[in-house]
Amino acid sequence: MKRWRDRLFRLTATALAGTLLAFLVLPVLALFVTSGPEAWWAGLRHPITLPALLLSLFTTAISLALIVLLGTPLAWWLGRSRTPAAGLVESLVQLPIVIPPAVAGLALLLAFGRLGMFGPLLERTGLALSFSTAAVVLAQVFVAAPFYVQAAAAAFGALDDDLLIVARTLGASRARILFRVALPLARRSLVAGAALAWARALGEFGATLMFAGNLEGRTQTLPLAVYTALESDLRAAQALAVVLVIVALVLLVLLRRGPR
Amino acid sequence: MTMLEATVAVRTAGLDLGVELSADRRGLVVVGPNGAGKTTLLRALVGVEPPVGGHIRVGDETLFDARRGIDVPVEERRLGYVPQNYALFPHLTALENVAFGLRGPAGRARAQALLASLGVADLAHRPAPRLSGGEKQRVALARALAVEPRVLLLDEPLAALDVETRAEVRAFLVAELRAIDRPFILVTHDANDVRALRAPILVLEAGHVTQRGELAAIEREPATPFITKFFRREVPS
Repeated sequence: MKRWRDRLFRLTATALAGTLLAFLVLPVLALFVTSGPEAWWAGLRHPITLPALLLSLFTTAISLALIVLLGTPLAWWLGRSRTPAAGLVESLVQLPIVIPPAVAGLALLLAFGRLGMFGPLLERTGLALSFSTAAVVLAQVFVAAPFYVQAAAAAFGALDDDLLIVARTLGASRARILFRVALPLARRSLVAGAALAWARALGEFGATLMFAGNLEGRTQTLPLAVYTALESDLRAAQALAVVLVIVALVLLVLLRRGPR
Repeated sequence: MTMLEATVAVRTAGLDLGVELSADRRGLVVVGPNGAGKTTLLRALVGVEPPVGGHIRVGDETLFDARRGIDVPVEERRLGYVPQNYALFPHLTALENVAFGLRGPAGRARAQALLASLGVADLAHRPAPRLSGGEKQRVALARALAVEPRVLLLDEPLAALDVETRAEVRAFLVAELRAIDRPFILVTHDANDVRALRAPILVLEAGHVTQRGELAAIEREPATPFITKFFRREVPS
């Protein structure tokens, strides 16, 4: 009786897990199986594809560089500081993860847009941001940075205090401790966090559309190109989507393997 | 003769530490129950746990003085610190660990010589995580000595070892500390360490000194139940 119940329980659990797994995999599979390499090739040659692909690679590279450059010191402070303020700041950093991208786009517009809080100031200094490539980068940094900062802060926080103390007793400067001890030991988590942030930046749609617009060659990244292509040509949209998924898959594989 | 002489008051969440101590080349053994503040005391001397009061002097140099506002940074104190579990940099080899505080080819040569003098020259290129407990201790000691520390601070240097190797490593460490011939403070949980070192003893309980002096006197007249139990307990190592 008991064994029979155990078996039923296991069967149910497997069925539930299998349902979710199928639901997650099937749409991605559909992208690939409902068309063939020729269609993908045609999609790749579609006039909006190449500019969008290049713009996506260009903007996400800059976004990622900014996220790592600005995010690493913040993550260090979040991970190592024992002040109560760190908890509050950590919540602030996580905010972009929970607010919807469209709201993020609106918020960016209200802060840095032409009519936003800093709009007049930016205009006077000749740095009009909205509907520019720079705005694409800002939108990506806004939504993606928390993923890197969170992973890096956790990694820095997990460093053994004694290692850092010993390094200091050996006369090492802060910079030497960062580059010779902290970064090498946290490397795996930093790379994983950076890859996650990159994937998020690459997929960014809502905030970009709201804040940067959808201008071919200037703000039309791959996700926006998929959306644009869909209005006229489902197959072109699909081909673009396949390109996007392949780039994302490559990222995921690199992320799972991690640095050695 | 160089001597470490300190009075430190430290307040942390669960501890109110107030200790006066001195250590010369004979060393000082600090014993006490868990949570008595032994590690906090070493960290205060090293400079990472800021004292609220007191002073720390090595020879005629003041490293810390609350009243005079002196607080020499950790990096400039030249106090050798060997924490519990040794804290070797796990991404570096034994040699790279020892050479961490040194620069250039001369530094590497000195690190190699130190490893040799501690009998582990052949382990130079082994990654730190692949060293045994006793080997780790020697490398950690070599690393601390590399920067010519004026004082050595060792936090339970034998606690991480299994019983079979502990006696051997202890004998080595005691001989080494005599040979190094500079002031040291050694924190331990083990009465056997205290007996082997024959150094003055300081007993720390709940942040305060409950007894200090030579082993014989303390064994004759233990001041607290903890001390009585500590020296009565016979550990087979």
